[in-house]
Amino acid sequence: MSLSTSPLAEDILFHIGPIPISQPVVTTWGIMAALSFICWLGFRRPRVEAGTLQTVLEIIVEALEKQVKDIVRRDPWPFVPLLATLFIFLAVANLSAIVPGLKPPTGHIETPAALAALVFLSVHYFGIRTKGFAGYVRHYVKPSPLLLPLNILSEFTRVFSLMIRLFGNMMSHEFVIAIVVFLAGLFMPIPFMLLGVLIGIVQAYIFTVLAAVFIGAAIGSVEAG
Amino acid sequence: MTIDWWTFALQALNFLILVWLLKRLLYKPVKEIIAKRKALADEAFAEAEKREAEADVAKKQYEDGKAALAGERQALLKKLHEEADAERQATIKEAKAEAAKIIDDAKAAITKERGAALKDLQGEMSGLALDMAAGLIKRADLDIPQSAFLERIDAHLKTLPKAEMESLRADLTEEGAELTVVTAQALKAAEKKQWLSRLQAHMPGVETVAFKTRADILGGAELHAPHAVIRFTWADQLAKAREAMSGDDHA
Repeated sequence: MSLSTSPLAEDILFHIGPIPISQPVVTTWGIMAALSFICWLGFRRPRVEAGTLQTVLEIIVEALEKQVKDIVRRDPWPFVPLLATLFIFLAVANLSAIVPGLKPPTGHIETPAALAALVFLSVHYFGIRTKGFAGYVRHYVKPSPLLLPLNILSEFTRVFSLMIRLFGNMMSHEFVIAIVVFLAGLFMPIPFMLLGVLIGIVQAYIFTVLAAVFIGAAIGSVEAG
Repeated sequence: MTIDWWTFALQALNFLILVWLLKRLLYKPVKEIIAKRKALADEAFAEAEKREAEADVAKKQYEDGKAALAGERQALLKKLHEEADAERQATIKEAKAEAAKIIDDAKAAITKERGAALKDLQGEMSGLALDMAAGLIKRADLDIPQSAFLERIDAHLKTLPKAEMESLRADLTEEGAELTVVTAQALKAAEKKQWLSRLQAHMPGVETVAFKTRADILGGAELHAPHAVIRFTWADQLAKAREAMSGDDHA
């Protein structure tokens, strides 16, 4: 990346046919491979008396399942694959910034945008599946039909804010680290990197919780925000 | 800022693939393990409840048994106390009876010993008194004439029943029969002659009379026939007095 080009521009690493493969996509594949391997390693022989890795994975999944249950206030397992994967992927993707040479996929707008778009679609999917199409659509005219435009607008704005919040935090953190490294040398960014760990986990949590709240509102468990 | 739609689409696809992968590799096994663990826990709880119920039953049986045992123990203790009390009472009664018997025996023995001692003492006293009397008689040198004793014997022969007198005379007629007069002091010739004449008056067949001296008769005289003796001596009187004293004690 040179100063003459936009720091937000995608780094195209290679092409598969007509499809350009950018750096965030490759990083995401690496994260997917690592997560799949760890999960396979932890549960290749699942036992009631769990080993260390299995125990850690179970604790993470059960904590997320409990968190989701507290928000949607019903059986959480239909929502756990989406929401738990969202948190795990975002946490790992955000923390990938601490690995030298890696850039977090969430620091590029396409990844938060894709995740936000999936959350947007999931909200409507779970809402319609739970309430039926008519029942789900009816909530847009509540408490008054006059609020229909605002309700529709809020559907897009809240997803947009979800995307921008994550992208802004991670991108700005990446920029801050780059600037500090440029100005102060190699060891000065370490406190900022530690702060980046906190920011990465907090942002993953916020994104996941907000997605759970949106889904919960869609299925009628929580009031729409 | 522009969006690379290929990256956008690939990231969306990647995320969906990751959801599918984690669902297969993580959430499903975790859910199954949780369900299995829950089933095991439920089974363990059911087993624990069953064991608890069995323990409750066993505890109740134990407490019932304990209560029954306590009741039995109380009854046994009461019975033992009663038996011990009865045995104690019997022992006390027996001891009292034995003590009373010992006391009675002791009293009887004391009374007997006292009587015996008293008798011995009386015997000793009377013996002593008679010995003293005999000593006094011996030392008194009583001046009683022999004729007085002759008179007594003569009076006695006179009052003797006729059958006895005849028997006495018949005894003297036997071969070797002899009439003997025993005195404490030796008689003078005149006195012997007087004795002979008086005795011949009662027993005409008597030719001779033997005269002997015995100091132990103390005083007086004895007339010895073959089968009879007539005594008028101090020793005889003292012996009769001794017998009388001994006879009084037995009375």
